[in-house]
Amino acid sequence: MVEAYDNEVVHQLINEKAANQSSSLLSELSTLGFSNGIDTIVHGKKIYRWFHEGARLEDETVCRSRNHFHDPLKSWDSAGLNNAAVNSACLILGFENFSVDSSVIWAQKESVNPWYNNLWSWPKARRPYYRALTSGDRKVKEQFFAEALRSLGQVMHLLADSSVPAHVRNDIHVFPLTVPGVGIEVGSQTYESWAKQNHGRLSFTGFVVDNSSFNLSVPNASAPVAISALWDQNKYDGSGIAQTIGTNIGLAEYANANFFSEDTIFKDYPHPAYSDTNYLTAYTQPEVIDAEDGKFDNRMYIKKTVGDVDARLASFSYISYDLIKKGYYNFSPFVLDDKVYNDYAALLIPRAVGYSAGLLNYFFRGNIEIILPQSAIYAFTGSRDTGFTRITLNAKNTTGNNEEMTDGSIELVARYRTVQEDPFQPFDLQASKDYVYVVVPEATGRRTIPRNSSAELVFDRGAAAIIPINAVDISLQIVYHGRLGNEDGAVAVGLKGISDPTPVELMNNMDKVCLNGAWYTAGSPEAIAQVDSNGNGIPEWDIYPHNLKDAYVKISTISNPIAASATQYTYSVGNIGPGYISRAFILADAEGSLKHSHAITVEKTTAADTFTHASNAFNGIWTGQSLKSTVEYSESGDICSAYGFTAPCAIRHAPPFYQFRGTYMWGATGAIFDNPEYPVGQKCSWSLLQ
Amino acid sequence: MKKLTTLLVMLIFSTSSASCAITNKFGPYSGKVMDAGTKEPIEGAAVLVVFFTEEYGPAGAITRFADAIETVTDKNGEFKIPTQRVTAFRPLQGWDKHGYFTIFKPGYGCYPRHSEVKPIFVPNGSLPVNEYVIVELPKLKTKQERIESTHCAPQSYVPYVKAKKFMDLLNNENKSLGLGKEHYD
Repeated sequence: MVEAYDNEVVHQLINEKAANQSSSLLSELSTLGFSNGIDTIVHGKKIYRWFHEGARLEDETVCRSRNHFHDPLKSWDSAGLNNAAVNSACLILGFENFSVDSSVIWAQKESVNPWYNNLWSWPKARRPYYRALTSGDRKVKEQFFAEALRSLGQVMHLLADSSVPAHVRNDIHVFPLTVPGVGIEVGSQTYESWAKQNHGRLSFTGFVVDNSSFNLSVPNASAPVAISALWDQNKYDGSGIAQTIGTNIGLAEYANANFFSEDTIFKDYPHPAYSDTNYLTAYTQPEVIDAEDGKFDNRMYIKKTVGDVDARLASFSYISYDLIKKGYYNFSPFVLDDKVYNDYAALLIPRAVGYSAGLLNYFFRGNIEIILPQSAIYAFTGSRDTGFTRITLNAKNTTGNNEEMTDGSIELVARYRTVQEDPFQPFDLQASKDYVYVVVPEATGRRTIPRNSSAELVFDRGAAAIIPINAVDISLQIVYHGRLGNEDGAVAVGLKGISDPTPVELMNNMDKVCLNGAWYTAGSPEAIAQVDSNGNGIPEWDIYPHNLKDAYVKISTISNPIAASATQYTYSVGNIGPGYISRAFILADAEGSLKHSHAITVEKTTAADTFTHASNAFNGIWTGQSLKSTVEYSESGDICSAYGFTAPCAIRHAPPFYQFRGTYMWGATGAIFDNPEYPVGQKCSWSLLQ
Repeated sequence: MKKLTTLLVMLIFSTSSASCAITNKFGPYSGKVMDAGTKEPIEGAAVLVVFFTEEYGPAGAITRFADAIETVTDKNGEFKIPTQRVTAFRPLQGWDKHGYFTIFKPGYGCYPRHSEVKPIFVPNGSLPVNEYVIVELPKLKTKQERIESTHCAPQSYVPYVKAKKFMDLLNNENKSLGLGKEHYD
């Protein structure tokens, strides 16, 4: 059996439960589109299993586990396992060097030499996580993400080990073991072997770690990241248990001061001391226990008188009761038995889970809010072919604990699916199964994201599209990589789902004119005849076709509507001839409405047109709506088969485009410009023009 | 005790260059899997047992996969795993003398993970040798419970060929829960 939590069961359960209790991890997974949480399959395995892998593989070699110790009462450079025999043996084996690190340093070790250094540390988790976020290839993304999760799992293993008293009291144990080649079992049970054998009765509900703990980290060049505070805050100096009670204490400090390992009961360490316990009065409250030999014994348990006062700390051996009653305290050896281990586990396992969840929360703490920029759109394009080549957005640092993003690279990851069909028509669409990822660096050289206000970020890909016109399920992700608070190399992420490419259409319907309730071709003799009461061939009403000249279009927000003008516009079109349509596209927020406005000059197309024409016409502000295709997920075989799918399926419903003169149009952000009808008020239905 | 421990560590490490095959006999195991509520037998439950060696180091023993064997319960819910002699080429390792079981049937709590499975033996996950055991699995009510039950998946080092029935059953459940397919190779 084992001395640390075993790598097969308990370490893995601690990691899994911590992952499921880390609010930041679960939020991040949601942000990244991993809709099944820790059960999402990444790189062939469910996410929680990558944490299992980390738990298991941190014990990959016997000598690696030398670095799983941390004595909080020593300086960190010498707080690792202090055992020359073990270190010599590892050196002789040739797998490792002589030196050994404290687990708090090992957890942050940079990988330099693959034989001697830690390749699965905190920095090792940071780098692949950043690469996972900023890679454009799904398989590569998953591979790097899995690497990051495994690394985190290994760091969590180290942290969980610091809840094991033997690991923080420099107490090696190879017992119990089966002597190789002989088969004889040697040694008695330990806390950890008991935990493995009884893992079904352990409580894995995590102790809640106070986030302010990270502010109490001790500056140390070998362990610069504030996660060291989860191990050791240098609060406990051996002078008293009281320093270690509460939520803001390193786990190694708590375990060292409040628990015994098998070989350090009331020795080698200042606490727990006799004076911290009911040592002298324990015999007055013996417990009757099943001795499993058909008899029952009186067993006396030592409990602390400060801190966790109800927990059994150690036991006098089974022969002690009668001796102590006769005053022979000095003949009463101590043991840690099942009941003691049970009480240890009840206090230490929730700490191991909670602190590990805290570690994950810290890793995934960097948050960015993406905000619609002042222009009210993220992007505009007038060309279906080029798509959106430039994206603008505002970003704000929303990381807790007042941590600043002061120097880092900023990249946009545009994520979308594509549809094969023309998406701008009222038919059900089928989108690609996989997402496409396009990564673009910030164009203005900005390296900070402020906390108190948002900053405008610009991403420009030149002539190449960041998002094509046939994209759906679009989200914008901002990745900041650099200094966050006091951590270098940190990663912060923000993600926002936005609208599909939304058409903004201006239809010049002035090649037609509505006269006496019927449509006529503008300028035709038939049209003229309708309004030529004296028969002189000159119409008394402007029935001629017209150009739409200098068309300005302004998109604005509901809260700040802005009328289009020659100085306030999102885009402009020089001329739209009669019977033609201008179609541009925008990316806006997915939810909510928007305002659109048009300022247009009407221009005659023939000298025969002697009527007066308006400039800056049609300049109202209308409420519109961005386009977002709706997707229905169904597990019904009947529903899915009706759409030609097998269950479960995603059915992308047709967006509500309508047909006008043979063209499908998005009515929510466009306009159709008509000649004035005659007589005024007697309108013609557009449906008559189909 | 510390001196004895150190001596033992030295002894183990100093002879580490030696190599040898080690062998151990496990089982036989037999029993019946039934619905905890109805007491009806559960047919088609995958029963997987995994055997480990232990490698001893300064922080205790590290468990190493040695072998695995699986079976499926019959129409009476019964399973039988005959005596297994497992041999591994593992210098200086000992055996974990227990075989560790996982019993999985979609829609039921998994043995030994689910808190309501009965009985639980010590070490948890083991079954007694030469003893006919009746294992009761609770019926699951929610999708979330079914998802959690898939956490019984064997470790990645268990080869697919050793746990094919188990993994196929698990992946079918993953698929029906909309979770996709895990790779077990």
